[in-house]
Amino acid sequence: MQSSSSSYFSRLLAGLGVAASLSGLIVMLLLPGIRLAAWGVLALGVALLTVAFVLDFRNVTRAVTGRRGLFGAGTGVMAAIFIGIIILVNAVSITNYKRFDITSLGQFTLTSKTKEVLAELDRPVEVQFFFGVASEIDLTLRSYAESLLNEYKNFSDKLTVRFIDTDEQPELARQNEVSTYSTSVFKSGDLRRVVFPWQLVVLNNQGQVSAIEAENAFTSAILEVTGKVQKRVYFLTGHGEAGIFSNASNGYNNARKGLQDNLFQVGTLDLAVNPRVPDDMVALIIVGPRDPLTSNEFDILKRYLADGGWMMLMLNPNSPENFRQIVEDWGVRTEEGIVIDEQSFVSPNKDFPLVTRTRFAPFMAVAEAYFPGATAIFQKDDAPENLEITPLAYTTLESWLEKDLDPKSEPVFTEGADIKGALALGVLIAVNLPEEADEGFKDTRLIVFGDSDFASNQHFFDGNNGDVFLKAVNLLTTGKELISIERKVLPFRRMLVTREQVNFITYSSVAVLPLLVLFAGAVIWWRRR
Amino acid sequence: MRNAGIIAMKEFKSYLASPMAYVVVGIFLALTGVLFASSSSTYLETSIRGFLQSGVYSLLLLAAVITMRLIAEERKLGTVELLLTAPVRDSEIIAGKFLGSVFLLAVMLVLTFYYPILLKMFGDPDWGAIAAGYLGLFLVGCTALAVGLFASTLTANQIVSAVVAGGILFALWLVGLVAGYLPRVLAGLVNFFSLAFYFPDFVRGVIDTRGVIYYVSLTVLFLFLAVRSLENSRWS
Repeated sequence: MQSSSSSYFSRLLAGLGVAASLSGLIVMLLLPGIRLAAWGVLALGVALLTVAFVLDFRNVTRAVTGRRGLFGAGTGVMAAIFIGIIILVNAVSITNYKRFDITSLGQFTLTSKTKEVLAELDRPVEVQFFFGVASEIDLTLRSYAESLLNEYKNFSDKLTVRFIDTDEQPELARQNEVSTYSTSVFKSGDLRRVVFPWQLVVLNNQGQVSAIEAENAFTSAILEVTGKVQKRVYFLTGHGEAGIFSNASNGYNNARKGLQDNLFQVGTLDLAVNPRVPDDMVALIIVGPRDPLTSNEFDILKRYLADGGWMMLMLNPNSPENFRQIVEDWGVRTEEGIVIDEQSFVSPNKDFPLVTRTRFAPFMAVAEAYFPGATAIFQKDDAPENLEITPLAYTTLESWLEKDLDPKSEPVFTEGADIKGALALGVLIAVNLPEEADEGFKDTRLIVFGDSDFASNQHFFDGNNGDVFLKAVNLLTTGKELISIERKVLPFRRMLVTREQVNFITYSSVAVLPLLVLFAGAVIWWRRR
Repeated sequence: MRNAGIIAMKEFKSYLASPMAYVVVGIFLALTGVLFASSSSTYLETSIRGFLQSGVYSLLLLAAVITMRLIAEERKLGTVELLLTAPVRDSEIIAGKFLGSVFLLAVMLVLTFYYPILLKMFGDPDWGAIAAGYLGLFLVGCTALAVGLFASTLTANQIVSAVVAGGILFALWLVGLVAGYLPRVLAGLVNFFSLAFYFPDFVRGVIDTRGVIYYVSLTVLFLFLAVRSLENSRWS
C-alpha cells in the first residue's frame, strides 16, 4: 500500500516535472523577455523529475533493464538516431536547394536581376496585396500575384507579403488609399509605391486581357521604396508653363510634392538652355504653356515622340499653335473654345465641368474631379489606325464647347457654332503593339488634357483633382523599366467554353467517372456475395 | 525486397477485390470532380489548380481510410501472428503494405487524368504545372499513407487507426496556421513541420528540392516508426 502511494506520488512529481520543463522551454522560445523566469521553471521541472526518479528508483531501473525496457530503450535510441538523420538531411536540403520551374514559359523563374535586387535587400519591405472580386481578371490576378510574390519571398527574408481581403478590411484599404481590387502596395519605412492592376495586364486590341506581366512592376516598386532607383519626370519650362516650385494659385508646387511622395524624381527641362532630351527622363510633362516653342524646340519634341517618348501635354484654351500641332500628328486635335456643362459642374461655374466616376476611364478609378476653364480634345477622322485613343475623362451629353464665351452672360449653346458634347477632357494615346513587335518598336505614349488648372495649387486638393494628375502620370510611366529585366509576358490562358461545354465538363467529372468506379465496386461486391 | 513486392501485390489485389476500395475511390473522384468543375481556375487559367488545392484534403482524409485496415485488421483477425512468424522481415511487411496502398493511390490519381484531358479538349493547359501538381499530390499522398500505416500498427481497431492517422495528418497540415502568430524565426521552424508549406509550390508548377526531400523523409520516418511499432508487438 505504501509502495503504491509512493509510486503514485513519484508519477505525479514526474508529470509535474515534464509539464514544468516543457512550459519553461516554450516560454523561453516565445517570450525571451522573461527568459530568466523560464530558466527557473525549467530548473524546477528538472528538479521534480530528479526527485521522482530517486523516489521510484527501483521501478525505473526495472523498467529500463527489463526485456521491454531494453527493447524500448533500443527502439528509442534507434528512433532518435533516425530522426536525427532525417533532421540533418532536411537541414542540409534547406540550405542547399534547387527550384525547378517546369511551367511551359518558366513563369515563376525570377530573372537574375530580380534575384539580385532581393538578395541585396538591406531593409524590410512589406507588400500588401488587396484582393477582391469585381471581375474574372481579379481572380486570375490574385492567384498570379500570390504565386509570384511567394516566389519573391523565397529569395529574401526581408520581404513580407500580406494578402488582404479588401471587403473584409475596407478601413485598411482606405488607409492605404486603395480604391480598386488587385492593387499591391509596397512599403519600406516612409516610402510607399502603389502598383495598380492595370500595370500587370496586357490588353489586346479589343480591350480584353491577353497576358499578364508583373515582375517589372514589382521589382521596380521594391527598388523605388528602398530608395535605390526612382523614375524621373521632367517639366518643360521657358514657355510660361506653371512653375513646379511656385506657391501661387496657378503654380504646381503641390503637384510636384505629390509626385515626389509617389517616389518620382522631378526635374525641369529648358530646351533653350539644353537643347536635348535628358537620358534619364522617363516622361515629359508640359503644363499650360502660354508662349510658342521655337522651331528647334518643336523639332526636338516631335522627334522625342516619334522615337517612342512619353509625354503629358496639358493645354488650355488658346494655347500656342505649335503646341497644338504636336498632338495633331498623334490622331487628336484641339479647338478654340471653353467647355460648358449644364448638367455636371461646380456651381455656380458652368465652365468648371465636374466629371464623376462613370465618366472616367475605368482604370482611373476616380470618384470625381473638375476641370476649370477647359478645352476639349477631339479624335481626328484620319487618326492613324495603329493608335489606341482612349478618353480618360469626358463631360455629359448636356455639354458643349462654347466658341464665344461672354463672362457677363449665361452661356447658351449656339447651333452651328458651338460643338455639342459629350466632350473628352483628356485622352490617352498609345501605339498598338503589333502582332510581332521587334526590338525597334516605338512605344510612344501621350496623354493630352484640355486643362492644366485642375492640378494647380488652387485646385489640387479639391475633389480628386490631385489624384487624377498623379494617376495620369502613373499611367504614362507604367512599364518604363527602371532596371534591365527581360520582359516575360505570360499568355492569359482563359478557356473559352459554351454553356453546353461547361455542363459537359461538370457532369462528366462530377458524376460519370465516380459512378463508373462505384458500378465496378458493385459488380465486385455482387460477384463476391 | 522480393517479399515486399509479393506482399504489395497481395495487398493491391485485396484492394481490388474489396468493394470498400471502390467506394473510397468513387468518393475521391466525386469530391475532386466537384472541386475541379466548380473552381474558377479551371476556366480562367485552364488549370487543375482548384482540384489540387482542395483535392489534397480529400486525399488526407481518404488515406487514413485506405490504410486503416492494413495492420489493424490483421491484428483483429489474429493473422498478424502468422505474418510475424513468416520468414519475412518486419521492414518487408511494412514496405509491402505501403507499396500496395501506393498502387491504389496511383490508380486514384491516374483516374483524375480525365481532368487535364478535358482541359486539353477545350483549352490550352500548361502541362508543366499539371505535372508538378500531380507530383506534389503523389508525394503528399505517400506521406499520408505512411502516417496511416503507422497508425494502423498501433491498434487493432480500424476506426481508432483512422482517427489517429487523420489527427496526425491534419495536425501536420494545420500546424502552419500557428506560425502566423509566432515570431519570425520560430514561425519558420514551425512552418517547416507543416505538410502544407511546400505543396503550393507544386501546385504552381515549381518543384522545390526542399519540398521533395521533406515529403520523402517524412514518409520514410513514419514507415520506420511503423516498422518499430510492429516490431514492438513481438515483445508486448
